[in-house]
Amino acid sequence: MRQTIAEKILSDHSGNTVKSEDVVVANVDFCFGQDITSSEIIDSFRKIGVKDIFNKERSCMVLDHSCPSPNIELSEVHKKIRNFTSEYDMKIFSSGEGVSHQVIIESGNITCGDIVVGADSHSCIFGALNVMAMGVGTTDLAIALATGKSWFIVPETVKVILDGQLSKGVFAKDVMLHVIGNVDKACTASRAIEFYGDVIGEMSVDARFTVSSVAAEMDAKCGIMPADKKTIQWAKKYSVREPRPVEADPDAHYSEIYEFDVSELSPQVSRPHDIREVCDIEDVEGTEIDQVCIGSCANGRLEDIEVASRILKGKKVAPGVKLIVTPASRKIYVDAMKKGYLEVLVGAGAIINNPGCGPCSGTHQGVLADGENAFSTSNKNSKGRMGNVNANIYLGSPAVAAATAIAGKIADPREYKRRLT
Amino acid sequence: MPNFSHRVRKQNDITTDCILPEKYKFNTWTEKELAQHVFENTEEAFHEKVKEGDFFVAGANFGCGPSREQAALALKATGLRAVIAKSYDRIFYRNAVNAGLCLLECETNYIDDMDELDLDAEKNILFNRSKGVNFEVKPMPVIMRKFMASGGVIEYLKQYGDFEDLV
Repeated sequence: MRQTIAEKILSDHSGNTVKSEDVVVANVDFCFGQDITSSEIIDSFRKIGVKDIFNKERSCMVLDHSCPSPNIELSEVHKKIRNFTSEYDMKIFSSGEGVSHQVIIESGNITCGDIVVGADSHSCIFGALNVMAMGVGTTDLAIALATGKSWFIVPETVKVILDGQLSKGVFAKDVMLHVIGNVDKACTASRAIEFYGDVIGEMSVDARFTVSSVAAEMDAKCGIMPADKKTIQWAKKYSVREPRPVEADPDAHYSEIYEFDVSELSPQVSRPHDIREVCDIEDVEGTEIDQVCIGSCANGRLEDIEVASRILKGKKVAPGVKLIVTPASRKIYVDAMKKGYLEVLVGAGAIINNPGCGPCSGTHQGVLADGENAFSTSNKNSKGRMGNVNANIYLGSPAVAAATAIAGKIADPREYKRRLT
Repeated sequence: MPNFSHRVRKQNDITTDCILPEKYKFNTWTEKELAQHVFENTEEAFHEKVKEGDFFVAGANFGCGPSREQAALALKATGLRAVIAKSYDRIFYRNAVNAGLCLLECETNYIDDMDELDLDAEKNILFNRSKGVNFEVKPMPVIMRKFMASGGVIEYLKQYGDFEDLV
């Protein structure tokens, strides 16, 4: 039987040999909710009426979207979540520990070959570790939490091949924006995506997380990469369980195959109010920006903060512009501090938020005014995403963000080529 | 007693907002209360027309838009036996299966509002008595049949406590 990675993982977890469109019940290796979704997860969980959660090591709740809480209503939600996790002796990551995806990655609780479900749309991020990871609704998450299983419709798979070599100043985020701008969403919606190619091979594991996280914006069910040496090394170092790498059969069936050569690619920018509105930086250079945000599950990792600090070293953020940096986890925060990146950024005039989702959740830490333009390294720029429907959000890499913060308008980071070694 | 089809003005891409206006999204409403507000922004007294065992009929991509489980719950609470559409939004589909709202896939161009319908769920045939034509319904996977027999995944789990016999 010729199978894709998703078909193999679902076969392994359901005990049946499955193909796309089959409906199966499969074991879930890890499940989690965040502070926007966990309240409803708790209600649904209680409705199912089981005595306990399926596994205390294989599940958690994370307070990350609005932390520390900006209002009474959200404080009450956080309290409800804390009470639930203490009642069931369930793992919780509290305010300030970081974005769910990042803290789970760092916890080592997932590994190659796993099925992970998260009540957060960017849960497909774990695909970078050869994991079938999906964002699900709150009832689905409650089902997984109660039983350690879920039902799945086996997805068709789309293959995306990324060839070539990225030029200096061009990063994983640019590649993904380019891909999103050039694929038909109808062909990727509800599908599993498998990523291949030299570009992926060259990327660090952290950069691969950017790719898999942004795959959510193609409405994909999951964005999986095969495990290579780097993945296995990563897993051996961090995972608490033995990795079980899964590769597709050479003649597996794909509903669509896209191939991109990204050697000539410029830094990419996504314009308001749809991530698919992608253009070369040359087309939007000079657009006035009021606020620059570096962070989120897409680009809040150490190498993202490093690039920003290299570009901003000895420079100043443009007058009137807010540069808001939100490390994705406490570990990243501390590492960035030790390496001196935060000192550089603060010296340049940046505001450093506590670890978490930061302004991307739209509830706090950088809500925009009417008519303001933001440049963000996050993965969503739909209307109102950052808390104001009358504001505009441009998306791009941390390098573009840093260059933009200095100029006060969208700027090309290749100007700082020498700093980007 | 005969059962009838119900269609609304819009055919394709009927959103969850259209099914149940956004203001009913919080959990403070009972399912019976929610049922009285189905399609209230676009249709007149929709819920009064629907009788137990009737069918809702739509075109393609039914249930798209915001992922709100209440839309599926409210439709189920109207007493509909099933929704019949050409295709469904993925998230709505999951919500419906969890809630126990039966979704069938079939050609729906030849079904008008208030046609008399009859479903043979064993043979997967839908009879349109008003038009004298039959349609083949896409067979439901075995697991889905079990979920529906219990009244949805949540009810299934309440009954059995686990998916034991399905893995």
